[in-house]
Amino acid sequence: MSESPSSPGLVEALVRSCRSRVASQISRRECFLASGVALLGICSLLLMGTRYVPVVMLPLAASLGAWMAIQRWRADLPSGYAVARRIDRREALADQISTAYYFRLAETGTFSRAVADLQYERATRTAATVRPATVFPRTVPSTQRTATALLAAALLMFGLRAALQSSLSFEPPLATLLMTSLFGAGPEPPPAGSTQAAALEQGEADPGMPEPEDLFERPAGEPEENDNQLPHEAHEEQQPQSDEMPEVEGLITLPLEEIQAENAADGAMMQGEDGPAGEENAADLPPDPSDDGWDDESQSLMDKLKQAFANMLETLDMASVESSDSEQGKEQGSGNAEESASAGDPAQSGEADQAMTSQSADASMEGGEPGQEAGETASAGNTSGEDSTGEQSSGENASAAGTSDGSKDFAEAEHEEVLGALEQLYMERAENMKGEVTIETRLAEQSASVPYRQRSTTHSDRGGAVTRDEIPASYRTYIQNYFDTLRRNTE
Amino acid sequence: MVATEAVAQSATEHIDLVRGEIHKVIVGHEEVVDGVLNALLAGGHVLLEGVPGLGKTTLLRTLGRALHLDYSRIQFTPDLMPADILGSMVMDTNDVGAKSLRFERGPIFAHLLLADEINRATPRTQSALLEAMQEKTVTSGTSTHPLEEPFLVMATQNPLEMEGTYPLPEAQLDRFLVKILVEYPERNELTAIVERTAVPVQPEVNAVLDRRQILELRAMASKLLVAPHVRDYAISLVLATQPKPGPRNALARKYIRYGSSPRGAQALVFCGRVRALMQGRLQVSIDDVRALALPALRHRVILNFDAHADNRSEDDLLLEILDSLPQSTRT
Repeated sequence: MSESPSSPGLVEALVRSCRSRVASQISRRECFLASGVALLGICSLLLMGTRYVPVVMLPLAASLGAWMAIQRWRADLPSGYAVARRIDRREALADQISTAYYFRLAETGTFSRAVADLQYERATRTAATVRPATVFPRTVPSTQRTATALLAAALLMFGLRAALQSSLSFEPPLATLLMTSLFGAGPEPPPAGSTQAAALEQGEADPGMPEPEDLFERPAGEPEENDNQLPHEAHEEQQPQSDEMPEVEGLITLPLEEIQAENAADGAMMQGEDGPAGEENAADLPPDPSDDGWDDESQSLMDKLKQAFANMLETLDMASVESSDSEQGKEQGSGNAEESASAGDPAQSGEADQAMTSQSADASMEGGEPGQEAGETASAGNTSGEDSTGEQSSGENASAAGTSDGSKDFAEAEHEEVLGALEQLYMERAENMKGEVTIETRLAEQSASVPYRQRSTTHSDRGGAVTRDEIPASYRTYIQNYFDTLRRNTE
Repeated sequence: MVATEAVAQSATEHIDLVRGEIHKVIVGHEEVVDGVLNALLAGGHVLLEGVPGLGKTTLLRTLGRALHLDYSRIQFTPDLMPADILGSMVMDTNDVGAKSLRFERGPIFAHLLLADEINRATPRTQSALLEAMQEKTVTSGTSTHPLEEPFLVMATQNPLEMEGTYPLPEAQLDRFLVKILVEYPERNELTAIVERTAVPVQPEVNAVLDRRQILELRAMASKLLVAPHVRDYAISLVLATQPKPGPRNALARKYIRYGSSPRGAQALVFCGRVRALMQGRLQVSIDDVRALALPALRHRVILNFDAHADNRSEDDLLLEILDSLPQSTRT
């Protein structure tokens, strides 16, 4: 009671001192958190390179970390009252400091000011014995350990990059650098004089990272690679320097308009020329390591495109000629078509549907040439995804797809299926049905049977509440044992 | 009364004096003695439960002797009638022969009322105590008679021998500020009991507190400070006993049929103040609330059938709730 309520006393000084320590500790923690987020961005960049992580992610990560730190700092910074409670709890002061702090600042309310002053006086004596450094000792925040680990990882990755590259480039991923340095350029050594081609291949995966041998063999006057170049720019720059890639270039850079013009000209001619020619081209190509990847894929893709166009054109030609024969075949082979469609790959159901009609025709026409061709086309269509070399002869392709064969069968089958489902529905619901059912039938004799089952009434729980007094004392042990047994069985 | 350091200190000393007088007769049972004193200074009533022979009646009788207060005892039996407790109108004849009705006060008109084996009386008789315990008045006919403060009902009941007993209804239980379980004494306590009762001369208990001092202690206790976080903790504890939706009420939903009433929170705060005063503090702490959770709430929690089937008691559940209740650190 020696001090007026407005003058700051020892309790407030203690709380203020402890709060500043808490604030500094939270600040350190959040600074390390922000640093950790920024370091995480740096580590990502060093690990994956600017090819996958753009440089703009760095300031973004730093900004994100700073924003998170500020938000968390504002949310976690305790009030003076909360700090006083922490002091009480850590020092086991029976809420003396917090109560004194609160009622010192509280307006006059339902409490006795005299008791509050007396309690504050006691709290002041207690506060004199409390050391803020003891209550809130400096501790290493967990974010500091995380940030340190991230810093070490960043330094390690930076050192690795510096060791693996002569000129430091952040463009390629670190894994590519490691694979290149550990296992070399590829499975086969590049032929003599084709260093530039190997560099081109290397540039495909790693344009900013030349071979270590190349780096050491580079003449002094040769300018450094431009690290700021995009990969495809570097590729285009290096392509004229490669002398041994004409076929590959021809396959890769074949314009789409040219393909379409060729396909539109004559399907049969294209099938006769392009198919074998493509195979010959593919077969004649030397086993260049650069053909293993994207070139092979594009070539097989173009082969498939060409073959698809040819099949389509041939189908259109054959459709008018074989329509009558196919109609005869489909009547008998619809069952086989359904079986083959159901047994086929579900992912290729569209192809299977198209092949279904032609296969049915094939089944009906014994040894019929068009049906046989159609069946082969269907099988080729099913396996075209697996066969990337295009070994199937396009001359054998003949399909009946596009005709309306089998549509009547489908309609009838769907009708029968609906009738079957309806019948099943009636049979299943017959047990639960009440009332009268009117079924319209044809004039032919019909019969409907409903299984008879003896039904009895079911017991229903009325949900009555059991109160304490309703259970006689003599039954409680029995009921408790019953529930114990029940619970044990359940467990 | 002006709160000074000397007043606060003398209050603690007076309470210690009463404790000392009681412990001349009662060996051990510190929690029971403190609980009864707590109920007296908090203005509530106490229910003692324990098997026979543990000194429940002796404790309350000793308390009555240690205080300069009117003390009466009622042995509850099934044929006890409300009028036997409250009193009744009797015909009075004066000197000239004129007759008039006069209210003859029953044994409830005392400062300390020992209701021994309260669960042996019928609910009708038990209910006669409701008004007296809550409003501190007795109504007979059309007249209402106030009871003098301090008024403390100390009831005992025996958990065994349930035949022929009438368990107290929830409304009656809620009127008791605390319910204290009297446990068996430890070995050393039992030795002291045997030695103390073996001598022919019984210890003399002196009355160390009178009515005025007790009322001053009550006033002093009611002025002790309860910080908001302590009050919030008591409220959270009471809310956690109620079976209603919420993340902290999972245990209550599973095992508790009826949770504590608001009287539970009041009891925690009132008893917390007295406990702080008994320990020489001027502020209630969270530890006070935690220490008083069991006596203040165990009789206000009604378990459901699952709890009985799982052998879960009120104390088990309250301790579990206490452990799961965080002491909030943020404001």
